[in-house]
Amino acid sequence: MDRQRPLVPLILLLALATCPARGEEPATAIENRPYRIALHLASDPAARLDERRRDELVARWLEMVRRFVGPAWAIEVAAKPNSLANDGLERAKAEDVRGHDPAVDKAWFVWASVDPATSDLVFEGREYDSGTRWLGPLQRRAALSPLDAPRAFFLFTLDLFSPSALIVGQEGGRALLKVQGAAIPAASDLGAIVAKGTTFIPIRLVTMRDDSIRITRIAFTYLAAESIEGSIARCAILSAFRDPLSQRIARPNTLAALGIKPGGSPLQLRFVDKSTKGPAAGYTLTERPAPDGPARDVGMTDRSGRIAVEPGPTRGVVKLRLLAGDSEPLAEFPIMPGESGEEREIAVDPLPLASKYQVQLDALRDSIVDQVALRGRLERLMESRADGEDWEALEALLKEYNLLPSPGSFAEALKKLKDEAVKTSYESAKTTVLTRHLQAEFDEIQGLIDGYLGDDASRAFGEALESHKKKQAEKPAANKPRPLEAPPLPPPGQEKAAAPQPPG
Amino acid sequence: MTISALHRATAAAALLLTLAVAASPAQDAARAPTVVTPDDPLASFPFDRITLVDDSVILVEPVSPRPLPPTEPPKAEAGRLPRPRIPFEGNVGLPGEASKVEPFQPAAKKEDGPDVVINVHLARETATGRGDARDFKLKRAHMKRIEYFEDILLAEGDKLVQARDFTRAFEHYLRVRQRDPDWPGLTDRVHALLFAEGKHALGDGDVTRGLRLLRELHARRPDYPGLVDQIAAAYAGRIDRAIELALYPEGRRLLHELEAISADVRQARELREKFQGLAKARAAQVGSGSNADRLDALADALRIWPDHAELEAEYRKAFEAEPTLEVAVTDVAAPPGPWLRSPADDRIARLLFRPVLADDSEEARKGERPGQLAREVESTDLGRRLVVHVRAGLPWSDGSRDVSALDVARSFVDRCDPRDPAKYQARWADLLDRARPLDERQVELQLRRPLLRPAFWLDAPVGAAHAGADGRIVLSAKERRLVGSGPFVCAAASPNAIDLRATADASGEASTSKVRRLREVRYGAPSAAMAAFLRGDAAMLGHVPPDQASKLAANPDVKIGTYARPAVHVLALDGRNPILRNRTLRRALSYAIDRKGLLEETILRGPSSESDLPADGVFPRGNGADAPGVKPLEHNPVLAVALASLARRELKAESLKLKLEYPPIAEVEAVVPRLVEAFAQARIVVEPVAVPRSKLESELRAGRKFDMAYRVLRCDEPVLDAGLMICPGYDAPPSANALASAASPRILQLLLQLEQAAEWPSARGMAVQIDRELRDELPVIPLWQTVDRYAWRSRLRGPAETAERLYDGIETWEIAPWIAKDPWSR
Repeated sequence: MDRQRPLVPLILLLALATCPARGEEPATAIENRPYRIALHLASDPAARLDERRRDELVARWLEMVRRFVGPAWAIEVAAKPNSLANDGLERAKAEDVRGHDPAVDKAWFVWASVDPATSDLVFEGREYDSGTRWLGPLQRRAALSPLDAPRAFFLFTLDLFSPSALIVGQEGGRALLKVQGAAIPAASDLGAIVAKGTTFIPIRLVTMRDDSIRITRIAFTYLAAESIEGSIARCAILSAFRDPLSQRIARPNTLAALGIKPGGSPLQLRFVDKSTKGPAAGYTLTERPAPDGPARDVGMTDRSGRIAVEPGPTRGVVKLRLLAGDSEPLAEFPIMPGESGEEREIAVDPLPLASKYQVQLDALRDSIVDQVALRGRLERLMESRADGEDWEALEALLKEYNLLPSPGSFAEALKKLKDEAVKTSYESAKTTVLTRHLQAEFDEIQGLIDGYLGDDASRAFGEALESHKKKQAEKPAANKPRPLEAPPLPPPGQEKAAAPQPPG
Repeated sequence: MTISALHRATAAAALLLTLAVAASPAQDAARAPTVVTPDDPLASFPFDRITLVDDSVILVEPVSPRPLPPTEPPKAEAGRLPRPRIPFEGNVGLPGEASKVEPFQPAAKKEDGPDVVINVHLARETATGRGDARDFKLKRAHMKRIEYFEDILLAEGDKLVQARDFTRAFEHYLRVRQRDPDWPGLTDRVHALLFAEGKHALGDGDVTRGLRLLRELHARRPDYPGLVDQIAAAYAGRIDRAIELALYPEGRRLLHELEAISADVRQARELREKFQGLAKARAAQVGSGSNADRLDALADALRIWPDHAELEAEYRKAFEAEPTLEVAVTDVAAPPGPWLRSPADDRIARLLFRPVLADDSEEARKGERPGQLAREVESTDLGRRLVVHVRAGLPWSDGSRDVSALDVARSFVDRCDPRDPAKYQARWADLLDRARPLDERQVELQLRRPLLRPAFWLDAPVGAAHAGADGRIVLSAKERRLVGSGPFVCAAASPNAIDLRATADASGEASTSKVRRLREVRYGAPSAAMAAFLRGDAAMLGHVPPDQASKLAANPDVKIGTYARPAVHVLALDGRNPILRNRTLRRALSYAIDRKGLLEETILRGPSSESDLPADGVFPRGNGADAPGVKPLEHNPVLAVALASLARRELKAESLKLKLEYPPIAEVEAVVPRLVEAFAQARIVVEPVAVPRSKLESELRAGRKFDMAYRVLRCDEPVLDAGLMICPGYDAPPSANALASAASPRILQLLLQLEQAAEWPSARGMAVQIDRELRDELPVIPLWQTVDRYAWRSRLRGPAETAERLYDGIETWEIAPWIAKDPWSR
């Protein structure tokens, strides 16, 4: 959807939103303007939805629309459904939509069929937004009983409906959206055009030099409604980019938004190496509900770098993270599983050097953890021996302890590894080596060495042992029988006379 | 004292054989109780029971001598000295004469012997409590009866035999033997005990013990009444059972034992006739009547009864017409087909199907190697385009047509179809862009990248395009025949045996084989395979357990060969199990294993060597991809416990339970319980489950989930084999999500990068890096590497002492007929 033809409906939408037409009846503001929706309902003959039953279904459905949604939906049922409404709807593209009335805001292509497994009546359909030429995801709902078909069809159309909006500004890091028809009172809460949690995708409309309008979806960006103030929805910006709604665009442009609801189709992703364009195979993909839900493993990219992300129970925007070696993040971006069945290619830097250092750091951390465990065990044993005053055993344990590698050797190995990584990062211009994650790993391991591999305990036990030995050495001296008192020394010069003479 | 039945039987034999040997006084003293308890003579101090004439009973310490001599009846004058006689002339002497009076000299009183009086010492103190004297002389005449302690013991033993308490009875007899081995009646009672107990054991169904007891009795007293009949009946029952279970050698051995006891017994004659009759009946069952069926019938008949000259002559004649090689293995390809998914497939696939390229040599590329389909392989576009020229005149075994480019192209395409996990090869699917036959004899392959070693990819078996996905064609509603192009054709295949026949056509190479028939027989237990080989039923043994190699080598009839590649034993881990994805747990598992100890104590039963040693990775020592300077994996049970505990905390699991699947290979069966024990010491519960090797390997390669699997690997080319060695499902269809089974994502990334390597130096460097990082990442737990051996009997001539595969050079082998004779009839 990079380049599109000039789009009359979109211009109309923008014109209506901005200024009233001169000399004509006053234009309706966007928030007061209902959605003109064309329903193209076709059915499989196996569904046995003949004209009478179809009319009955539509009539009862319209009644429900009136009761629950109200005037916000202006429905036109196409007498002759568009050819797009058939069993190949899932594979259809926006370009395939032909013969569409540009005055209609949205077209719903619905195919009613029978589930071969359960024989239930099944509605499948996609919404086409005229303003953005966006063909929404495939929605599906089964009616468990023919009597329940109108209710199921109504719920199905609620799933199908996506509100349109203009992004009118940003405030406090939130995007402000003026939603079409939001000022029209809904007949019930169920029929509210926009509610807290409604998700939009931002679209940029750029007027080109030839006055054509280029419609571009801002990639990996979602706007989640946090609060509704009148017709303005205040939305959190979930994006892989720092400033996705930037106005720093050379050409005149407008930002619009289109509501999006996940369908049942899994999201097909293909990761490729951004430098070689080869498949990024064997990388782990994790997801967590945006903004900060618990993470879970999605799977691993296959040989061709492909992976399918099933819509999870949250059925909303998730943050996907691609990891190398189970820990080094290569890419992180928000996305909505089920928003499209088409494959999306994502280029990543596989960070081969960072992964290599990551493995070595993991190995080093393992050996440190082993040392901590061994030292801890020996320290506990030494403590019990010291308490029991089993000094010989304590000495043996100290000897065993001293045989373990010293903390310095680990610090040295870590330093060597870090120096090598720094050197490699200077030498390598093609790929990042010292990623934030890797640097954090270096710091963490240094912390492990400093925090857990101290010698204080062993030194204390060593001192206790030495002290005991010293006491033992002093004890015999104290217990030894005192030598007989020596006679006073004779005065100098009389030694010989004072010396005892041998008898005889 | 309680003695187990086995000990008792052995001791009984010893008792009988050593009756003459006096009991050790020290032992008796050690055993002697100090209290007299007449109700329990076994626990009592020895005593004799004397009944006096007034019917009072006294317990005395054992009298001596034992037994007492019989008492003499009192003689009226016996012992009275003759009175001095007065001479006729008177005894008054004259003066001066000596007095003629003979003074009375009373004769010295003769001491009464034990036949008259005995000294007794009361065994108990009298009830007065005054410490009265306990030593008395007791006249034999005052004794009504004496019961010796030995007789009391024997009588008690008899009662216990009646009560079938043979253990206690034996203990009573044993005490008698210790006191006096020659005590009258002891031997007869022991015989009776052996007979009664043996009979009772036979009645209870414990035939082995019963027969052993009766044989002991037979050795002691062959003419014991009813003994031979009893033994013969028991032997007959066992032999009949052995025949029912087709355990003919065992049956013959039992018959031989029976005949050694009594050749004339009726049952022995009948059983001999039964064996001979069975052999004749089997020989008559020739099935379809083909020579192979006849040969099988005769061989089976001679296995039932080898001493049959007529059958033997017929067998030799039939064997010469169709020389048959029987190989004892522990698994067979089930079913065989044009695929390689287990070691058994690898063994026979080349015999059934020719590959496109036999090896990677220039001669093979030029089509100068025999046994391959390619006449030439052209490589263009920097190796991205290959054109295979298929040889003409190589017929399919069904004779329908010759092998063509269509067959080759289909086999290449089949390997890219993920719906067929037997043939699917994910790497090949990723590599192949297009395969199409250019004409009848040429196939063009467009590749996404050049092949590092074309023969690795082009040596897969090529099946017939006109056959089904399993390589078979339909002959009838019940019969589907495997169509091949190799020197042998599959005649029959079952989970327990596979029968290959040399092709009889005139295609050239195949018909030169002197071994016309190859039968692989699967034995469920490795010991059974070894026994069959030692017995001579099989002429070749596919795998020799390392601890048996020296023993076999000492047999002059046996030769030992060595596979060119050593076997590397590893524990594969499935990373799809979150427990095994945990690095700490993997390290705990590794630390728990004492590699050197287990290798030497259990696998080799001897010291390790340069070729049999603990492993630090999946690549064998000395291999080009074996990284130098890698620290050996340590055994540290303390760390294993600590890390397992840490892993439990990380996983928030109360206990760690895993299943270990292993193939029934002799050394693996021996070591798995030790591994389980080692893991249990680290508080990791591992449940061992035996799975046939082919089944295990083929399922793992298809991507089946598992926890831990014991794998025995051989590495031909580390660059190309690394993936399958580290991650069993590396080539599995994507639906199995088998890549996720690599427990270390880092190693998986390296493997996938290795797969993309375009030239050898970078590929080899990457393989070395994988080996180095594998030590820390532990996607598998390396155990040890051993020399892998096979063996053959001397009647088979031709196998090389070193071979890549078991049947290398089979076309030159020769085999002589031979029937396993019983050792006693040789």
